[in-house]
Amino acid sequence: MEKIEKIMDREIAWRIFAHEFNMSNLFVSEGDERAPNYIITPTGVKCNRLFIIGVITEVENIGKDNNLWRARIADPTGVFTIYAGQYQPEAAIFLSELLVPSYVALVGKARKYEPEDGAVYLSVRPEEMNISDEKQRDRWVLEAAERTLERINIMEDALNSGLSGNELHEFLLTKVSNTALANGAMHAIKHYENLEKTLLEIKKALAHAIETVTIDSGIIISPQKPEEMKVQDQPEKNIDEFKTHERSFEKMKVQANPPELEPKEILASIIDELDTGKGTSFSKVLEISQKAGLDAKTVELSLKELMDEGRCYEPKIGVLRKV
Amino acid sequence: MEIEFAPHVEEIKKALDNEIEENHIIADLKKLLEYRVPLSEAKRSLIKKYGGSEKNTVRKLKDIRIGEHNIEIIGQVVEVIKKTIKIKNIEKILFSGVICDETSSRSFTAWSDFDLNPGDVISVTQAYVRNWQERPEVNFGPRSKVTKLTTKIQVPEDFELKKLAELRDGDINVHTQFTIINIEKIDINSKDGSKKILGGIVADEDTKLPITAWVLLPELAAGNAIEVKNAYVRSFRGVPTLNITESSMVSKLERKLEYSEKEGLKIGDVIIKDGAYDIVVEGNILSIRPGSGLIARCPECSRVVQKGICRVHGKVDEKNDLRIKAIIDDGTGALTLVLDSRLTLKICEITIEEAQKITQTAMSPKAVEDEIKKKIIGRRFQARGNMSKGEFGITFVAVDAWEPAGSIREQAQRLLGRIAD
Repeated sequence: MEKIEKIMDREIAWRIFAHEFNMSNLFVSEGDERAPNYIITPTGVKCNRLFIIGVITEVENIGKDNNLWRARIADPTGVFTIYAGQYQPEAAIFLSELLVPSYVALVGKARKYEPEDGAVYLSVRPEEMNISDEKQRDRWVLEAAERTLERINIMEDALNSGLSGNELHEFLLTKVSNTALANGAMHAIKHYENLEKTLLEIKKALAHAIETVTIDSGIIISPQKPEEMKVQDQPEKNIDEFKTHERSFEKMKVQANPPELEPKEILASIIDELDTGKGTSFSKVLEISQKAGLDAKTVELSLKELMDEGRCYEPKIGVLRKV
Repeated sequence: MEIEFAPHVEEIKKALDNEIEENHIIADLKKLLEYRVPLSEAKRSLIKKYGGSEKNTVRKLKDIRIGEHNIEIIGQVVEVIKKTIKIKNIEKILFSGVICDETSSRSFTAWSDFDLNPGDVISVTQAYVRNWQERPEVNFGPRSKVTKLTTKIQVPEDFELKKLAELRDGDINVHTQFTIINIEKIDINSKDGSKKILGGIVADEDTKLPITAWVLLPELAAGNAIEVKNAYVRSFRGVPTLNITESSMVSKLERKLEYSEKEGLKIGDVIIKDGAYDIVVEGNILSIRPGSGLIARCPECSRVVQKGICRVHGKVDEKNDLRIKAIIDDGTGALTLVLDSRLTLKICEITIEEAQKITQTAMSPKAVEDEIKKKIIGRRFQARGNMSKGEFGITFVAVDAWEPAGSIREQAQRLLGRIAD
């Protein structure tokens, strides 16, 4: 029977949207160096392997000897960053021959990259890649949405139960047959602050994702709500202008609550200000941002968002440039 | 020095029924210890040398574990079949069957004739447990002693009605209900020559299960709804099978149990079971395992052969075949999906002849595997078949496979509704 347990331990290929994946910042490793590493997402996935079907939006050779490829795969909620190096020759060849945009399927391992400045970048290292199509992608979106929704429901139940420690663990095990998920949920509840809010945000993102597949096929998916928002709050020259912007928002009464300026927009304007053509240092950006009232964690998260949206990039470690 | 030995010497003496002189034991033990043999190994070695045996441990069938030796069990023989096998071209007769006690039923193999008959209550010493199709099987070897007892096995009077989905390998005293979908007579070799039994498929509202009846009862006919008590469950080819014996009580039910197939099964829920019969799973193909593509089989036994040499039949005129072993995963769990040449053709549109051509053109046997990868990695499929667990992991042998046809929009609307709730 021991043998069977082992085989059952093949890591599940989790279905996670890029939005949730990229906002994860908890990492656990069990046992020695060779033990697998896991990323714990806000919905409690203890993720080592994942499966994605999305659209390739960029393929770039970034290695010195043509041996490291970086690609971006978009789903309706965000973008996954893919790295394939010399130990993934098949994936590297596949990427090198790919047309942008095209539908691809990918099985891979979640990886993190932590440059010294304290930022964390998540990426995926491919195990298998293949050409896919629109229908397969749509089915993936629905499956990822369903799995995510199931996880959100479990997390909400767990948060509402008011339990903690062993009692919470027992409670989770009655909800899921998968011990990895119960384990991940425990980690997530302990780690993520404002989890209720985050879960709500993820729910919104997945509702949006589902809506995109109900749009008539043949028509290129029209700019979605986040895009429209982006046009409205384009980064301006300085923060003061933003405040005017904010006021105009208030007047428009788009939302019931007075809308706050998104931290990432503040950050974008700061980078914009500092970058006079040759980029600016991360430490400088952090310093100014903190003066503007953002804490280090928010800066880190917002920076990641801006990078995911392709609004800024990091040509060298610790150096930021606007696009 | 000798005082330190005393308790160990006593132990050894006891294990050898006090038939060996203490002096000999002490001398031998000293010698072994001078060789720096660990004390436990020295004791074991001495007991063996003087023909004794290590302590028997009494075990209930529920508790036996693969690899255990010197166990003693008391149980009732449920069924026995005589088998003739060939070991290195020498014919050997052995007896295999099922034995049960008040905790469980297990298969057994007796390597010599202990004159076992169904219904016998026996005590067996020096039995050992081997791995048979990933399950513990009791073995009665040359050192085993079988004693027939006159006592009865007290089966707990636990007649709780179980659904077919709840049945597990080793369950005894099973009380369940089902409708017989099909059933037929099968010839087997029993201890007293050829015998007829019944084999078929039964179902309740949500689960199908194979069934074997060791008695030819008129109630057991296709279409009948049946209630059975005191049946037992044993895995056959990795799938739990319900067994009906002479001591089972079978009665016909008035109401029919209508089977309707479960839709949207999650692989994560399927793989925690022992096995499953005739179910549908859905997921994405994430990996093609070694041994996929063009393979060669022995024409006699269908085993996969390498370089024309069969493990059993030696040099053979191998036959080409095509198959796929793939990992299918739905985000809740994964299993190995096995597709034969017919389904490989259906899914990948490659025939055996084309596969041979691809191999020849590319001058590489891996070419077919690569072609299969290109065609199905990442794609979504539904498959019908049986799930079993064995040394190669969790396997799903498909009898059919297809791309899901359900409407994406309807599914999307349904999901949006669930979010709104």
